[in-house]
Amino acid sequence: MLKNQDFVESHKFEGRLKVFEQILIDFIMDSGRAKSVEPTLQKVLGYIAIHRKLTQKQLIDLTQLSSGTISKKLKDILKFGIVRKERIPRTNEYLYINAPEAYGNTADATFDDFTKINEFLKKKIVELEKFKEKKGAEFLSERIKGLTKTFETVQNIWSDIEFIFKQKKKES
Amino acid sequence: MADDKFDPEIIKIEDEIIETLLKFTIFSVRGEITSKIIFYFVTRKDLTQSELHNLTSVSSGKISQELNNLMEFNLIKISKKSKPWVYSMESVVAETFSRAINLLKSNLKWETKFLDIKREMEDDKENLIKLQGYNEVKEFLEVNLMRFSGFKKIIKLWEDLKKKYENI
Repeated sequence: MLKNQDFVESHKFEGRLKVFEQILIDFIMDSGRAKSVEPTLQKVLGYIAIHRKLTQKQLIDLTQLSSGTISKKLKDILKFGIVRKERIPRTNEYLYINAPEAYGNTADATFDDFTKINEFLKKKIVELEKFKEKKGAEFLSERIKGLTKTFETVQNIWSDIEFIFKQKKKES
Repeated sequence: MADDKFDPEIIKIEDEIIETLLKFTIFSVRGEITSKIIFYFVTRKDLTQSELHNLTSVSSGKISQELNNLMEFNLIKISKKSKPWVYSMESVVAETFSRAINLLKSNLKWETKFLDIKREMEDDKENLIKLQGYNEVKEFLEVNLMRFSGFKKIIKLWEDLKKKYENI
């Protein structure tokens, strides 16, 4: 349940902390660029990650993005499940709250996606088999097999890493 | 559109594959243009800037920017043997993992900066704690410094696991 102090606190960092905030945003933007995440989306995610919870108005103020852009990005972010939305009591405003506890679910959802993608790609490989005389069919089939292998390998490596981490934890 | 690599029937399948992949949330965070370009490298392996422009209808300037980004993180390589230059994604598996490890390494370059801030916050705690944002910055630094040590372990583990996966 939200309390008043949760949203009356100022969202503007002060003095030296404002400088640190900018460095953290630079880090988040750099990390997003490396992952090819769309920059405005990354910026909104970044401010929520640092401040933990922000209203739409506060986000507009901090990011200097338009209300339309913020609104659209928030809609996308809610879909990813790493931010949740809570209504501020007795107002029409919402807080967008960083939800690190959802990262585990996000990882599960990602692996779910990998499985669905692989099922779809395997159907396409079978379909390509029917056109094997056509130019490029064999080539495309091999490339798609490579992609399915990638998703399977990611899942296997993740299981290996989880297993090794668990073993090390037991040993220590 | 004329295409010397794929038959029109195969292009139809390629289009369906790319359009379907774009709908998945795990790829939508990247933005459509980047994802589309990566998927064309997955399906076609070698591409010139003008081929990418024909396939995606994205401007040459934007394509050039995207290609530089993908090269920086080792997802594709460039061959300058003759003009036009050819950009390639050789092995889908190897290149994807090499990129993932480079992403972790690129995050780690921030570790020193984060440790400097953490130190400054500890040294001047008495004054900084009175300012708005102290707890938020402190927590963000702690969480990410912990992630960085996890990344180091993953990079080390990957070096050990690489042999197991290098032939695929």
